[in-house]
Parts: sequence; C-alpha cells; structure tokens
Amino acid sequence: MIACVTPSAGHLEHHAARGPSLLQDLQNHHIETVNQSRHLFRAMGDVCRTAVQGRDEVIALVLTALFADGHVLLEDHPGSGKTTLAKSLGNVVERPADSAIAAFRRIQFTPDLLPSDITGVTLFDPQSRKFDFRRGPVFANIVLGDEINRSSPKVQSALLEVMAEKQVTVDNETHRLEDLFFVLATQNPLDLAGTYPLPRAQLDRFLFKIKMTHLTRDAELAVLCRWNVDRTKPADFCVAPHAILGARRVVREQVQVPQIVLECLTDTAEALRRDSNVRLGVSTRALVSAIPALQVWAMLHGRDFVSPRDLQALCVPLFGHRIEPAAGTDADAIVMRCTSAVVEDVTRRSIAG
Amino acid sequence: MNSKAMTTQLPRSQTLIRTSAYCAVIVLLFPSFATSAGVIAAVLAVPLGVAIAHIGIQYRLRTIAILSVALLSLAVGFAANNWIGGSSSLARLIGPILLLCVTDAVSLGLMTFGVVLVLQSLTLRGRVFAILEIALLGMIVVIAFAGHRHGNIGQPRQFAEWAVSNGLDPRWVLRVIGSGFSATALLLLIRTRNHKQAWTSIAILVVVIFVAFQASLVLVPDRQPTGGTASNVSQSPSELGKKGDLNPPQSEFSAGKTASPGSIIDGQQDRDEMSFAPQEWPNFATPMAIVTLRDDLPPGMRSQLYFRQQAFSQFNGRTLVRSVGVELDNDVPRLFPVHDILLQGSNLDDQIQWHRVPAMISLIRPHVRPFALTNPTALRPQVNLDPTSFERTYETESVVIPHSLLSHEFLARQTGDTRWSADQRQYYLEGPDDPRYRHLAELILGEVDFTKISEPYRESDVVKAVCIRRWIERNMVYYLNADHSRQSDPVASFLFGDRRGYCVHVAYAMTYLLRSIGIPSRVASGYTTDAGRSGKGSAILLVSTDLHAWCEIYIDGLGWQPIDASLERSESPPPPPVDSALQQFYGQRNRLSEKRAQVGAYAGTLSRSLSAVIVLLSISLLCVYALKFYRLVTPYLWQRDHLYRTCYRAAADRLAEVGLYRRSGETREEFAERILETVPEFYRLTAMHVRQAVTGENICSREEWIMALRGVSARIRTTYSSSHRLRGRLDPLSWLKVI
Repeated sequence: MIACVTPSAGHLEHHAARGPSLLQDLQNHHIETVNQSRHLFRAMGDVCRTAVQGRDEVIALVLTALFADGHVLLEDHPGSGKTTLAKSLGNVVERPADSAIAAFRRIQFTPDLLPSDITGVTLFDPQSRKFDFRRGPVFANIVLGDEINRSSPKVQSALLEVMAEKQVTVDNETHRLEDLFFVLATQNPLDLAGTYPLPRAQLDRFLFKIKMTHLTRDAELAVLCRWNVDRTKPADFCVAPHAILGARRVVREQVQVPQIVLECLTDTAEALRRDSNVRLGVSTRALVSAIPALQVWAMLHGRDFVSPRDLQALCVPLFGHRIEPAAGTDADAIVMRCTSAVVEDVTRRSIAG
Repeated sequence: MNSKAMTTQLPRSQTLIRTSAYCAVIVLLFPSFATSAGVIAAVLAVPLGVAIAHIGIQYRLRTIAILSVALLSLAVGFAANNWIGGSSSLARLIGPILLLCVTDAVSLGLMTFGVVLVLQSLTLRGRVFAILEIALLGMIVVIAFAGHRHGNIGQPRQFAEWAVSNGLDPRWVLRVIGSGFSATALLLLIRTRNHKQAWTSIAILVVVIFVAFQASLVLVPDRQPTGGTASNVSQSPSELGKKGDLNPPQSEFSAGKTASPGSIIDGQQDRDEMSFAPQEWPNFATPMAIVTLRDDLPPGMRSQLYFRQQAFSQFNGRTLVRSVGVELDNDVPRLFPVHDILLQGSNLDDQIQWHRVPAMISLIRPHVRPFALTNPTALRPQVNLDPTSFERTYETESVVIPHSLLSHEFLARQTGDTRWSADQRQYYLEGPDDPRYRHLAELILGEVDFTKISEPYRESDVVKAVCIRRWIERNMVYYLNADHSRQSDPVASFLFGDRRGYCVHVAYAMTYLLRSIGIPSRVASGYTTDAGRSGKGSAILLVSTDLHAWCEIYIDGLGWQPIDASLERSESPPPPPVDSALQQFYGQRNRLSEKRAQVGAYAGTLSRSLSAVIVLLSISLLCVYALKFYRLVTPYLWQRDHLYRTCYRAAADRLAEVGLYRRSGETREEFAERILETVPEFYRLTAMHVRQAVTGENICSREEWIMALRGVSARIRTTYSSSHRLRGRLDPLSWLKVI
C-alpha cells in the first residue's frame, strides 16, 4: 500500500511554498477549476501533515475519500495518530459558531453503545410540551467512529445506514444530514476478543480501508521532536464546507474518465472474480464508487483525466477489503497482482499500438 | 567491510550449482587414473572445501590463512601418495588393494579439498578470480572430451565403455553430459542479474573453451591414420586363423559354383587383361574387404551377389581388354571416391522399382580400384576410422532389380541400349575372327526347342543367352589348373579344345559366343559371394577366393547384368572355406567400424545442422536488429496520430539501451518519476503520451512530439558515455524490456 501512494508525498510538500494569498482565495471563493480544487486539497493536506507526522500517504488517501464523498475505515494499532488525524481534519472545516451541526464529532464504539447514542433521540420537552429530537453525534461534518468493531452489529448498521443515506430516521421522522458528511472509522487489527468484525457487505460501504503501518524511524523521530508543540491550537487555514462541496463538483464534472479506464475497472473486477484465490469478488457498487476516487487522485496529480495508473495506485485501499480471499492468502497481494496485470496489459497495448 | 559482506551473499543456488559442477568435473576427469575410492573421496571433498571457504569468509578469516590451509592440504595430499603408498608394513597389514584405495582416497581427497578451497575462497573474495575457476573447470572438461574429436565414439573411454557394456548408445551418454554442462553454464549465466556480467561470462567461457581446445591438441595427441601396412594387417587374421578351428576342405562341393582362382589377387587387379595361366587355391582365404549392406536385399536377390571391379569389353584383336574410351563402361568406377561420384554409365529405366542398396565397403587389403555391388549408381568417400584394420573405406549405392533373369522384366527387353550409336553397339559385339564361335552358338541354339518357350519371348536375346549359358554349364568342366595361356586364343583352346577351364575361360567363352550372335556382352571381374554369407548380420566378408570373372550382357533399361555360368562338373578341389573365427573377428571389427561410420555421418549431420543453426541464428539476429532499428525510426515515418506511441516507444527504447527501463508492474508514470532526476525530459514525454493513450485526444503537434523525443535523446547523450550508449545500441534485445 505504501508503494502505491508514495508519489503523493512529494506533491503535498510541494505546496508549502505557496503564498497566503492563494489560500485566501480558496477560502473565500467558490472552487471553479481543477487547479483550484487541487490547491484546496493540498492546503488541507498541509494542515493535517503538520498535525500528524509521517502519515503523508494516509492523509492523501483520507482526503481523497473526503473529496470523493466516500468513507474511510482505518485499521491501525492504538496510538498511531488516528484521532489526531481526524481531529485536524475536523479543525480545517470551519463552521459558524451557532451552527446546529458540529464540524467534528468523535464516537467511541463500546459493546454497550445503542443506536440512539449515535443517531440521536427524541426527548419530551416539558416547557414546550413537545417531543424534541436531540441530534446525536452523527450530525457533524466529520465523524470519527473509534473502534467500530467493538460495538454490536445493531449499532454498526445504524451508522452504516447514516453513511449510505446521509439521513437519520428516528420515530418515523427523517432528519437530513449535511452533504459534507465524512466518517472515519477505525478498528484494531489485533485484540479481537469481544469484537464484532464487520461483515463484507458492510465493509463494502467504506470507500477505502487503509491499513496503517508503523512509522518509519525518521518520521517517528520527527514526531518526538515536536512533542512540545501545542497541537490544540486552531488551524491557521480553514475551509467552509461549501468549498469542499464545490471541489467535489468540479472534480466530478471536469476530470474526465476515459473509456480505457472504465475497461480497466471492469477487467480488474473480472480478474478478481476469476482468481482462484478469491471466494467473493468485488461488487459493481464498488466499481461505481471507485470512479470519484480515481478522479480525485487524477486531480491530485495534476491531470484532468483519469489514467490506469490511478487505479493501480488506489486498488488496494479500494478493493482490498471488498474481496473474500481464500484461507491463507493475502487479499491486498491478490488485488495488487490482478490490477497490475490489467494495467500492464493496457500499457503494453498502448505502447505497442 | 561492506564489499565483503556483499560477496558472501552469493545465492545458495549458485553455490549448489558450483559444487555440482566441481563434482561433475571430478567424475569426468578422475576415473581415468584413480580408483573408485579416490573418486568418491574427491567428490566428498568438494562440498567440504566449498563449506570451509564459505565459513572462512563468514568469519572474516584472512585470505592468507585460508590459502595456507589449502596449500598444506595440497602438500599433505601429494606427500601421502608416497608415505602411505610406499609403506610396506601397511601393505602387509591391510593388503595391497585396500592400500591402493586408501592411498588414492587420502591423497586425492586432500588435494581436491585444497584446490576447491583455494578456488572458492578466491572466487568469493573477488569476482576476477571466478575467471580462474571457469578456466580450470572448462579446461578439464575440454581435455576430458578431447579424445572424442572426429566423432571418435570410443572416447572418452570411461563413458563409452560404460555405455556399451550397459547396452546404451555412447552418443546419447555424451549428449546428455553435453546438455548437462550447457544447462549448468546457462543456469549460472541466467542467474546473474547483471547483463553485462553475463555477457562477460559468455565471452570468457568461449575464450576458455577455445584456448583449452587448442591446448588439448598439444596435450592429447591425435591418433593419426597410419595407413596400416599389408604385413601387420595380414598378421592378425593369420594368427586368428591359427587359433580358430581351421575347417578342413569339405566335400560338399558343387562344381563350378562361384569357384574362382585365388591368384587373380595379387597384382592382377590393375592389369588391362586377364590371365589365362593355371591357378591354384591358396591354403588360406585371405580377407580382402568387408561390405556392410545398409539395407536389406530384396527377396529376389537372395542368391548371388556380384561386386564388379573391372570390365573387359574392348577386343584388341587377340583378347578382351579394359576399354580405353572415356565414354565406354562408365558404370564401372575407375578411381576411389574423394568426393561424391555419380555413375551414369547405364541408362536405367525409371519405370522399374529399383531396389536401392547402400553399402559401406572397408578394404582390408590394398585395392587399386574400387568395387561395388552391381549396379552401382554412386560412390562416396568415407573417413577410415579404423586405419589399423582397414586400408580404406568408402560408401556405395547400388540399384538391384528384384527379379530373376528368366522373369518378364528381363525377357521382354532387348539387349543393347537403344541410345547407343551403331559404333558403340558394334564395339560390344567385336570378337575373334573365328567362325567357330558363331557356328557353335548357332548349333547350340539350333538344338533348343523354341516351341516350348512361350510366344512373346521366343525371339528374346536373353533366352538365347540363357540357353548358351546352360550349354556351357553342362559341357564344360571346371579345372583350375587348366593352361591355355600359351595358345594364341586361349578361349578357343578352352572351348573347342579340352573344355576344361576356370571362370576366366568360361566368362570369355560365353562373351565370345554371345557377341557372335549379336548380343552385346563383356567380361567383368570382381568378387562374388553367396548372399547367405552374411548370416544374420549385414556385413559380408569378401575373401581372396571370392575373386571371380563373369560374363555380362547389356539389357536395355537394366544396364549390364551378370549372366554367370556355374559349371556342373569339376576336376578341382573346392576352395578353402572362409574361416569362421576370421569372419567373427572381422565381423566385430566391422561393427565397430560401422558404428564409427554412423558417428561420422552423425558428425556430418551435426556440422550441417550446426551451420543451419548458425545461419538461422544470424538471420534472427538480423531480424531483431532490423526490428530494433525500425522502432527507433518509426517516429519519423508515422502519422501524427501514432506519434504518441512511436515517440514514447523510441524514447523508451533509447532509455532501455542505457539500462533505464520500466520494471514489471510499474506504471509509465512511476517509471518517469523514478528517472526524473536522470532524464527529466522523459517525464514530459510520458505525460504527453499517457494523455493521448488514455483519453485518445492529441493536443500536441508533430514538432512537439519530435522535440520531446529529441530532448530525451539529447539528455541521454549528455548523461551517458558513448561507450555505454554503444554497448546498449549493440544489445539486440534491449527493446524487449520496453515491448
């Protein structure tokens, strides 16, 4: 996974030299071009990067999911900066102080958590003598669902419904969430006793599943060097939700998805379904949801078209959690192998003519 | 320190292959002079030496320490030969055979250990010393196989003997060994990741083999053909004859049957005319030649075989002599073949199912002229692979007709060739100016009741010839001591005189009779033998008593065919039988020779197929270069719409030449990013290429594409040395990395 997203690190660094005026533009104006959305992406990446050291690839992927209107499942050991990352992301989103919806909420999933703890609950207000809906923590732009596998399937599915529909139905009353709704769920790969692992069908709702590895020595050293820095201070760069939504629209409309890439996608799915080591292949929904992610990735790399290379870069977080590998085989390796074969084939065809 | 750590990281498989190569070489070299105990000890010493060398490297022992250990073991091994082998007390204690084994095991084991240790340690320390290793191994292999030159199947002995004793074809054993060595060499080369290194290794291998081959010419003397003199040749069979049971002359003697005088043997072969002097059977049938038929004879040919050596057809007023005309008797080969000879003396009918009989003839005694089974069509030289046994070897191909003389095939044909000129026909009809011949012939034919012969054949010349033959067989008496040589016409003296004579008389008499009634005929001499002589084998031993003369008539479309009279009555003892021990001896010799001949033919095929392979390889190499060149120039040939791929391909090819190429699984963009610092121009070209390859829209002009390509080329020129670029340009397969 690290190998396939490495190039993004360089691009994020690239942005540090840009002047404040451009950032101002991004904050205040609507996003109109691919270039602008890329600058927005990089600016947000920079903020996260200062908060979380050595996680450039993860940041790039998380932001890609945010821009592609998908959700992310992070699989990591405790204490690896998941919350910090989510928080810094929440900090970037700027909301008016009186807003009913928060920029960032964190839900700690525990075995005794109830669905209403997430979605909200209808309470009787003695003063107005009415039942009032008290919004739960999902009413936020960015939600961190910590250790999602610790809670019962009922709660999990409540969250998943919100993720899919962007709405909450309590007591037959539907409450819409904002368009900018991004769930960053985490789960611990170890310590599985007393957990409820997410079924494949539910995993399918997550655009990416990102497996984080331990920091490199240099990155860890950089983290330690900054132990004294106050990380709670508000970010000096904020964006309004509508800016992100605008970027999403721009990417969706202006980054073209050539036929060859769609063919690559179906070929990859076909290869994955045919692979003898795969018991359950990827769904068509997965392919459809992959397209925006690919567009964002192309935009991030300064292109206004998606290239097969984007698919190769994103295939593991996109499909790794969506297939059911045979016992004893590594899903990520299978995905990488199948995608590489398809992309290599397309590449050779286009060179040989 | 770092480099040392690197050198120890030789792949395990490499070490394994090296060890097996050492063992193979030992198995190849040692058995010729060592006992099996010594070979086993040496083979066991190889892995030990390799292991110690590796341990030495691992623990960073100084080279000098390892080398001194190796030298010590070498010295001890060398000395052990004298110490242990020379000690008489030990010999008494354990017996001489065991002592020999122990001596061999100790000395060879220690010496092998020392050599392997030195070679391995040096190789592990520095790559340069690998040359030493390759050189030594290659040298041993070449020397071990040097004896096998010229397709000598008996060499190297340890393999050939083993194979033959186990009923295997030694060629296959050698082939297996050869492929094993090639495969090992290839494996070693393939395993080296670095191409340059692989090429260097191949070059070294070629040089080593060449040098070792040259050296082996000096070290291992070639067995020159000695051209065995008659004395030492005749010695072995005579000795064998004494040993074997010399069968006494047997009484079951059918009179004139192939009985032939023995003294035609010496010297007379090259005379222009035949002697009519009295003859005597020698005591001993001298082996003259061995004929190996490469194909079965047709069933109709199972009786008598005639090997024609000479033909006497020209009447010089007194007797028949060998023709002097160039155009005459061209079906008789005059000289031994030095190249392939096609004989076109007879006009053979293509309509007939001729049976081709290829044969190899090895001459045991010197012959002045070649002979071949009637009727020969081609002669080919053959390498004499057993010069101590044979004077000369050559191949013949003959055509025989699987019908008897009294079959339709013969009877329905005219005698003489329709294409002959009148002069030529007259030439074969000339005879002595003696009316008695014609008179006798007409008398003979007058006695024959032709009404008994079926209608179409009544006028056949062949019938007439057969009638005359029959008359001779009945009325002549075989007598070897007949002396008509002093007569002016010995044949008339025989035919119209005492009617006692031998084959020469009979042949001449018959020829004159036939010529007198207008049937073209001649006298031929050579060997004749019963087809059953070969027994179960394909080899026929021709002995001096097989020498014979016979009459031949020319039949249109069939050429010269023997029509030989076997006299019914005889006053001479039968010829001495062919010694069975002798036949066995030459049979064995012949089998070996035949095998060698096969190997010779195989070597010929090999060289032919080798040259074919070389031609094929050069053609494919040319094709590959052409393709490579084509890919480099296509950007300048193709339309704008194809520039995205041709330009990219040309640039990628150029990068591959200098060693920069996209790895498998790496996308184009990743490759461009990887070499961004070396060739930044390629990044832009890749972006342009990918855009069009993926989206299909071309936004760049032709000039832009060419500029981008030239930018890459210019960068390569400035970054890489010309020798580096030249090497890449010469690599025919560099473009395969791009595809």
